[in-house]
Amino acid sequence: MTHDQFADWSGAYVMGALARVERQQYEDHLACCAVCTDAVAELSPLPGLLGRIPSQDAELLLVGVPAEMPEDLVARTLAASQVAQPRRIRMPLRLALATAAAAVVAAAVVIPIQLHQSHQPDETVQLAQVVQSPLSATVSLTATDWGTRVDMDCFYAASQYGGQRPYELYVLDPAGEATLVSSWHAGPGEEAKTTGSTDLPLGDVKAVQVRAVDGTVLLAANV
Amino acid sequence: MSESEALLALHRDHAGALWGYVARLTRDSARAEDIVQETMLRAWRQRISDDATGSARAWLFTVARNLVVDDVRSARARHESLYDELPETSELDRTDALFDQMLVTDALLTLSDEHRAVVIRAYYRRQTVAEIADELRIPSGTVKSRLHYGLRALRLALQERGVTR
Repeated sequence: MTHDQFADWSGAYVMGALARVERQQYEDHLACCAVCTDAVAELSPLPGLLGRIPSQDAELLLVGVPAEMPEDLVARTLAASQVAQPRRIRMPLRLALATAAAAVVAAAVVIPIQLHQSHQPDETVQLAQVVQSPLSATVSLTATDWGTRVDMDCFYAASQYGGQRPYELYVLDPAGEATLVSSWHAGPGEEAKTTGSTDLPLGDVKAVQVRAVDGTVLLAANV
Repeated sequence: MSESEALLALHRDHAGALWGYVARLTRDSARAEDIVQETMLRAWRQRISDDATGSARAWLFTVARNLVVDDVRSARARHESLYDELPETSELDRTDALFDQMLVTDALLTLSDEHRAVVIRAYYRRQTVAEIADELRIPSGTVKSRLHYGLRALRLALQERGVTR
């Protein structure tokens, strides 16, 4: 028998996968073939290295991917990209509620002025889900002399579960600083329309976010 | 193309393949989610995309692999500092073993499906050439050849990862 016949047997040999007769033939050939002897020597560390993976884990490499990619991963990645900086501003609840109350007062003052400004919003964005929640929202931004008016239309999906919960709308400036512009309570099946304001010029509003009062970003969009 | 369109395009074209790789490497879908997301964000921030210079995929896989390696290393470092005063060798051994396992898994994932199929059957299932040929409905000469070239590719991949000389 010639070398050509055995040239690619080294892998099967070191794996111990050759039948007894073939193994004997191959070992006879090894005794007189330096090329095949080198080939076996090269592969000889591999069985020990493969042994570092438990066989049940190695089996998983045969069947494919152990878990499906979550469908909302793209939305979460997108939302994460829209937060200018990865840090999340967490306020103590008491402080958050105080700020929220102040914002409601500010909104109440602003609304009468807006009634006289009936022009179309300069920018309207649909917010994307950052974490799964029953909320969906669009936000319209309108440039004004004093800053930017922020109108939000937020839907809470109908469900038999859950009561009313507080939510907050923030705008983010180019540095990623978040400012509360409105807050509201909503429960299943409800629609909330809020109007808030910020002294940021329209061009400096880089992102809008709907958050739960614990600071979790639920919805977000780039502007 | 707007910035978010660039990110969406990266996700559409590569997230599936990247997920398959990272999920198999980590065997932990929560970690795989974090790593795929972080890799995509880094690519997007550095404006990596498919262009004339080639596909973004190799870049994405490299960055993801390094994130997994960092993750396993920092787990090991945590154990080391945690047990400074009272060495708990079994725990240390366990994280070392996990690290080795990750590197060998990574090397196996670089093989073509055909090569990986015969290597895993021969080693972990202890199947013979004839049994593998039967199961995959290919000639036994093809099984031998795939083991030969597959193990050579595996050896190269392990060398690149510093696992063997």
